[in-house]
Amino acid sequence: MKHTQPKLIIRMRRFWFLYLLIVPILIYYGVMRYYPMFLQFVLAFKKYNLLGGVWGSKWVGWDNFTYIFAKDEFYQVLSNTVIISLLRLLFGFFPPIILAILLYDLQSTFIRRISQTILYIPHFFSWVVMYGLIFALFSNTGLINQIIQQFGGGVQNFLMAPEWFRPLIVSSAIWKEIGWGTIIYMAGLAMVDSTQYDAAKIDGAGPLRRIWHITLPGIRHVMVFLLTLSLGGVLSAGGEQILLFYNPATYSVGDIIDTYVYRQGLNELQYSMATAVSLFQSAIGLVLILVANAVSKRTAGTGIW
Amino acid sequence: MHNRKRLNTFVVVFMAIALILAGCSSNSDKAGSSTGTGSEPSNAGSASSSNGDDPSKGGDTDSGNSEKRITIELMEGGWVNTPTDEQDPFKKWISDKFNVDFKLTNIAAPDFESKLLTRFASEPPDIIFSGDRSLLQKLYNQGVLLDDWTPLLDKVPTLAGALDDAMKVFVSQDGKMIALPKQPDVSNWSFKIRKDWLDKLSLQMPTTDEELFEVLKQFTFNDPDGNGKNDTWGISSAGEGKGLNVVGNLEAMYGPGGFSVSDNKVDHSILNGTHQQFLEFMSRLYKEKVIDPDWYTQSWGQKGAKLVTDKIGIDWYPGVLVSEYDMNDNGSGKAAEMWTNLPMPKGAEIGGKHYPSAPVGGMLSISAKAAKDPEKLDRILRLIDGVAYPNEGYWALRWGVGITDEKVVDLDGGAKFFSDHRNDPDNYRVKFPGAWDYGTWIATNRDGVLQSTAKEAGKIEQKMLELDQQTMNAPTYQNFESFLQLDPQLISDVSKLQQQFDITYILGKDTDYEAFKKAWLAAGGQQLLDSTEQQFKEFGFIK
Amino acid sequence: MSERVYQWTAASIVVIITILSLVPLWYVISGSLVNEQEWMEKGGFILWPEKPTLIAYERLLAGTAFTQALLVSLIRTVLGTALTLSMTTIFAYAVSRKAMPWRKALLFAVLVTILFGGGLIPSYIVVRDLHMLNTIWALVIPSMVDSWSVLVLKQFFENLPEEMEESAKIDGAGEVRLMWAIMIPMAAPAMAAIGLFTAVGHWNAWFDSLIYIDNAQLHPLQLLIRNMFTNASLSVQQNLGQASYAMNAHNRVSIETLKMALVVFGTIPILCVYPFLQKHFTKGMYLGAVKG
Repeated sequence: MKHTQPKLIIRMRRFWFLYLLIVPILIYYGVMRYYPMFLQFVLAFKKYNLLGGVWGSKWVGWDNFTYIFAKDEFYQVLSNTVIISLLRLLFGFFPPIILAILLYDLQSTFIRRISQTILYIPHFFSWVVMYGLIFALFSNTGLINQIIQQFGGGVQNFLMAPEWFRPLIVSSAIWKEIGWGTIIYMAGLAMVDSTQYDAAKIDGAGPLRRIWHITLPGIRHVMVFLLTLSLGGVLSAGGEQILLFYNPATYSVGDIIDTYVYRQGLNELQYSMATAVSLFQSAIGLVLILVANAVSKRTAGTGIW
Repeated sequence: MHNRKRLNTFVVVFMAIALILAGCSSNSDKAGSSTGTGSEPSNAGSASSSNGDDPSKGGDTDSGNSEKRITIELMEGGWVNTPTDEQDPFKKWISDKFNVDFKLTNIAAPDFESKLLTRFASEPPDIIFSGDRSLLQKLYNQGVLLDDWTPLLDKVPTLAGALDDAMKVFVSQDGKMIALPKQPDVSNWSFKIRKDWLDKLSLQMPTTDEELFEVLKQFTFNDPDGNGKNDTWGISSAGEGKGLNVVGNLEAMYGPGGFSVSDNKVDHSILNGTHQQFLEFMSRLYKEKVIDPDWYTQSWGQKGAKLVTDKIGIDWYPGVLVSEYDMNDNGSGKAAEMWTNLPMPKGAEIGGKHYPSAPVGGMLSISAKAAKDPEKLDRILRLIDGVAYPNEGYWALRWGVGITDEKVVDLDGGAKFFSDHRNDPDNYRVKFPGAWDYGTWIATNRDGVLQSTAKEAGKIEQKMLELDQQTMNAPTYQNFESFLQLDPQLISDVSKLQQQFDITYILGKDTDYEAFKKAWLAAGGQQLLDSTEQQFKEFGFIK
Repeated sequence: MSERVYQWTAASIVVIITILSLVPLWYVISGSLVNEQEWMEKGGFILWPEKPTLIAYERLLAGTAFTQALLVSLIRTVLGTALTLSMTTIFAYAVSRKAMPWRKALLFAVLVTILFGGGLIPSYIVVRDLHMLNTIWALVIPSMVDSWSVLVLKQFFENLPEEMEESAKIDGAGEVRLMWAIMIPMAAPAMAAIGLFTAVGHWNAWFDSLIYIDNAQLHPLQLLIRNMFTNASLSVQQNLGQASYAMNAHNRVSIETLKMALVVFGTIPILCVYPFLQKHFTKGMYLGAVKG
């Protein structure tokens, strides 16, 4: 059998310089990422004991997992998690892209510069602060309800109504992250060959056609890439935000895996169980990403590798 | 020859005098030297200086000379949780008095367990202070804490002397004391009501739940503060999205909360009608709109703002409410005539009392590693007892007596007054409020100190003391629950169920109480009942 | 759609979203400028402070170990960003070379680290055993290479036009010169983006310092903020009076206002960084293309 490619060693030799450069990084990955990952994986199957450390703790097999999954409540929680994640993805994926394109195409550099400095601001505030703002706006005596009452409407119990919970979560997340999300797309747009636009304009193409034929394809790779990666997080639907927003009146629609786990396992050190759940979330995430990657390669022609 | 004899005598006499002087001054050093205050640390303070059987340690003016300087680290969730700096006079004071390099590590409560986990994986803190018994139990069961405090009690006489049976039971497991509890504060929380609003609307102080409801309605709809605006509510709360918060104390109108004994049997408020009556009352409050609409979701600070701006007529608060109102009122002093105690109204035969105080005011635990070193253990015990109420160390560390130039002044009737130097920009605790956390782990309101910005105790302060005193003397239900050790997971499960049902009932969405009872029992309530019954029998509450 | 309509629509949408983005900042700034009485009266969202006052900021700057925490945050951000950006870029470039052997294996290894983490205890053990506890390195080394950024940057490198690479090789550039002189400058916008992400990540981080650092002098700003913001149980609330007395030095600023001021401090510095990086984003747009 003849290989059409040169031998492996010869191919590697061409890149000797790069291999040399990445040695420290490989060490880093080995020591600081993979070794702890391995320990953590092991811990998911043990009952962590402070004195024994990782290796001295008792092996319990699948017990950590069954503890969570065996409860009836879990399935409600799992469905909440998936639904909220998908809603976030569905409604949150496109706004930053659209905004980035609008910004990029804006003729007025003045508006663009000012906006770009301001748009990112909500991202910097922690959810604790954002929730304070949401509360000030949406509480029963807050600004929005005051306005509603001015117009003769009845007070809406936004923060305690199950029907408002998910919309509130998703839209406040968009509010917080839309500006930040444009950064990566702006970088992508900046790297698209701008002469294509000039050529298209000369040919008489209107703005929408330009977007469809030049802009979007130009950032297609980034879009597909980000979409694929975000599937990895489907089972972790933003615990920090939900922990702040939810309350017993909205547990039924808002309780997600992370918040549920937070309340469980109170008898022993909760650590092993939380580790097992996290492993489960990550494993599912990995599978989803691999599937999505395969699909996107077939349809969009591009993937993660 | 004469000279030699004289020299010898002189030397002997000199040494004798030196020894006596050294002995006396070291004692006075530790036995409450005057710090220029009106406070009187009791003689128990001197017990902190010696264990009685080690003369070499008692023989120095500077307690440091003959003993090693050691480091002791205390980890807690403080009030303020911000760090101090190198000039920290409190740290210096501990260093001088106990020859200890004291390290205070403050962690916010939600991060406490994570931090402890990592610390125990390498360098455990020497002492832990926490109010969370299940956390300490978890650590204890892992074997990383001191095994049993019982044999050590005679080394901490002040702290041990403050223990009562309920406290000891609270920290017991298999006959051992797993932690050393601090005395609980006597609760000074009760319902406060706007007396001036009652007067304006010509109402009497309500004594039953129905009368209370009537008062709440009038407070809400009849403009009691006379400002022409419809901006008042009868009552409020600060649920912060977690639960009912203080308005839940209304349940006490109907009977004791949680587990109790009646007719020589185990009883629980959810099953005997108490809780149901309470929910019914709450749902009426909600329906008639006499409760602040944000009662369930707002924070403590937000409710507080409404209290001091005449928007709420009744709230559950300690006497300090008078002072907080006054501060917002430019110190006019009118607050003393506005707020007064509302004795718990009676809604049922068995109701009308206050819930009992908390079983403990936090617990101290020593790491197993520190406990293994006998000298270190000894020094730790000496330190914690030395700063326990009512020893001199307490006044220093808690109130700054002798450290900053703040004072605690005696008032008539046994109370004390502390004027905090909050307008003094040079005061250390004003610059570094984290220094207040030196007091978090030793504080007790049994010290009778009233803290205020005022220079001396005036009308407002007297009113605060009066209200608190009244509250502390109000009748309470017998304390049963604090003797119980129940499975925290079961408790968490039934609590979640209850919280969900409570709010949906109050909002009028699900009023099937019987179904709730069944669900509650099935979710763990029955198991809890059985466990309680067994424990009550052991304690003799049930024959 | 005509150009004009498009431009007007775009401008309107952008302006609306910009105003919405300004709302949180407005909320925090005006909340930090009110005196206590006004706060009590209005609560919540303060549209315009009637009697603005800088007391909250004076209090913060005067003490509370705030300046120390600020310094730690600055050092960690600068050091961490420089380290991470350089390491990440090199690695991303390397794995973007389609002809490089083992590339796919490396990429998969990187992807796995995005999803699976080391967890609290194992990470701590590693940091401890490397003697990095209580040093600035514990805040900077564990996050030295960010896998997500590696994959994103790799994507950008791959999307650079091939003609550029080819024409450089025709001109005689070897792998080394190719990397330094051509590819990295071309990817400047992407690098600026990653640099910004990294800087922000460092600025906002608090959990790593919670577990790796005991020395309060080495705590960054965000940990300080978190400690102040977290009011846990009722018993803490009961003593909140204490804390509120404690923090409330001049008796004219409520603790909520102090928190707002702290948030402003926690955010403004990083907002100032952005304009500097912004020009790198726009640079690519004017760079022009390689004429084929």
